[in-house]
Amino acid sequence: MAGDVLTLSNLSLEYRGRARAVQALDDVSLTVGAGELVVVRGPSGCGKTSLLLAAGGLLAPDRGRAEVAGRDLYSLSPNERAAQRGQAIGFVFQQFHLIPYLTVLDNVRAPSLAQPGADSGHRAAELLERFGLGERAEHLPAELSTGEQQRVALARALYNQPRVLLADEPTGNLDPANAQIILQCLSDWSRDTGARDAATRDGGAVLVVTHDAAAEPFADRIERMNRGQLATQGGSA
Amino acid sequence: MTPRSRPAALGIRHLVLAEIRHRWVHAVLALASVTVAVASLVAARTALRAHDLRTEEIVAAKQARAAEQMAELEDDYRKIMKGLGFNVLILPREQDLGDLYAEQQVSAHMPEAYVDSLANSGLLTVRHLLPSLQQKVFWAEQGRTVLVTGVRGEVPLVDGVRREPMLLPVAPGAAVLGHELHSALGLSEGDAIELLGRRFEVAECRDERGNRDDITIWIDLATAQQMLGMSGLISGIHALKCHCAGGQLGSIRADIERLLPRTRVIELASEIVTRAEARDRAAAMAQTSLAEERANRARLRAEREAFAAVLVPLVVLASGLWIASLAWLNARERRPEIGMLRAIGLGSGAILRLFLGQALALGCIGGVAGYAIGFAGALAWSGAGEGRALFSAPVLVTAAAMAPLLTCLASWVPALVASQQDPADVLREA
Repeated sequence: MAGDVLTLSNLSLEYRGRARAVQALDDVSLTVGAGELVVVRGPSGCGKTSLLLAAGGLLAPDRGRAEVAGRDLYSLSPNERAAQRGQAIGFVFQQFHLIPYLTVLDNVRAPSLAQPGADSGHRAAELLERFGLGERAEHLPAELSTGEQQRVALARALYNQPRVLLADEPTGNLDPANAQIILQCLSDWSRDTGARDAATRDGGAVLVVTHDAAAEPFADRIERMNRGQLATQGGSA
Repeated sequence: MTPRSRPAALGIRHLVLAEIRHRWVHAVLALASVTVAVASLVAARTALRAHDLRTEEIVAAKQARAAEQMAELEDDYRKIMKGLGFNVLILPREQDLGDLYAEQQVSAHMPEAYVDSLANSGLLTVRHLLPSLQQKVFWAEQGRTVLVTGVRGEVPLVDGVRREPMLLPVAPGAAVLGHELHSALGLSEGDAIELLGRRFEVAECRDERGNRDDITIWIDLATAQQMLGMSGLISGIHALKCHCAGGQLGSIRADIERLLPRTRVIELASEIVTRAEARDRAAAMAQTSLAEERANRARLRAEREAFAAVLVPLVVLASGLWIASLAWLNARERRPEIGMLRAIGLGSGAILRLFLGQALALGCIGGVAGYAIGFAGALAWSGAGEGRALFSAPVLVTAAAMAPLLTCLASWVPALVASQQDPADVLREA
């Protein structure tokens, strides 16, 4: 559809182990538009993470297409795909994956490593201020609480002003209060679309895969995933 | 918040340095390893260089000592030759050698002019000419038989070369006494003696020689000729060559006899020849000793070089394996970080640069540290005080190139594997 930033079409992916094959994605199609937050819920092992990785250009499906901002990720070369990730996609993971030896500020601007010349300390500082971490800029990740670490990870995901934000169990390691903060941040960001001019544009499509029911109130649309298949269940918006 | 107003741009170098600071134990272990490898190489090469310099010093010192000893030996032989007598004795053809040897009795004489003929002949093999008139006489004043020898010192040769005289002339009115005479008669220098009706002053009392010189009185030749009634005559000429190899004696004798046909030449030089040969042998032995020293030092060097040829590669290999192990460990520990960096857009080349950059940095630091430690160690071990002489630019260049090469090669496979790992695998695992 027009305005869709993330379009997944008929994605199928099978993991072939020695004992048996597992169908991680079974003809999955999904679209997420600008300013939309879609939550995909499902039990562990249902294929949520595979869906997210495939959507982010990190896991090539056996079949189907994954388009971000109109570009089919898997028709690109690995380097082009990496560049597209750096420019258009932000990731948030359950384990945060902060770089332990960089300060909070440097972690936030780590995406600039993939785009030399795009480094902006001010942008990183602004994001930290937005997420209430301004005083933590020179700290190392190990000196932060888990909630703070996840907010740093979220700030890093937003640093390059991505078109799509992909979050894998973003609240999995957080207490309910911090989970609410993170989900609210994701929701707020998705709704920033068009609120600023093109140069400072924020906001975009958000895809959250989680087993946490707490995410549902923030969703524009909820998809249920089971054994690699999706079923739309509606949303709060 | 107090954000940095203008933070430095984030780059691979920033990550490398920050990671080294963060995992400093890893870095120190890797650094120590490459430092040890470089230090062992530098120490081995520098120690060998120190050995070479020491060898040169030892050989030069030995050569100088040998030259000094040979000069001393030369001087000793010259003195010995003077004490022992002369190479050849030129006698009148009619001299009965039986009388001479058995009785010290001179039975024939020849003109003193012979010695001038010989001196002016240009005969190069003869270096010193000492004419003398010798006669066994009864020293009536003391009631004993002595040998009276008139000498005029050394006759200069026509070649014009100044030589240290082998025998100084005795001044007219002076007498030189052999050991037996002055000791038996209780005479000393300055005493006056009377010989065949003439007065002489004792100018010198000779040390004991154990031969006929001990009962000889040396006086001026002209005086002796007058006293003995043999004006213009001498009984013999001692001719001395400085260096008399045995093979040349025959030709010397022939030369002299051709020049002075009414003479005969008696070789008195067997002891001298022996001593000259001994001197030649000493010189040869000095050369042999020098060659042996060189050979010993060369053997020692070869042993050390062989030891270093085994030890250094082993140390470098062990160091490389150790660095590779650390790099593997580092790559494993950093899998989530690598996965995340790949996710945010870094390509595999950037990951490779991240790991190899770290290896390069550690290699450069290790190269400098290893060179300094290896050089200082070799300097201390060799005991060489001056380090400048041991400095070798090729060794420095080798160390500077080897260390980063070692760390990069050892880290290459782990870095390659890390750069090629599938980020999806890592992120799924996490």
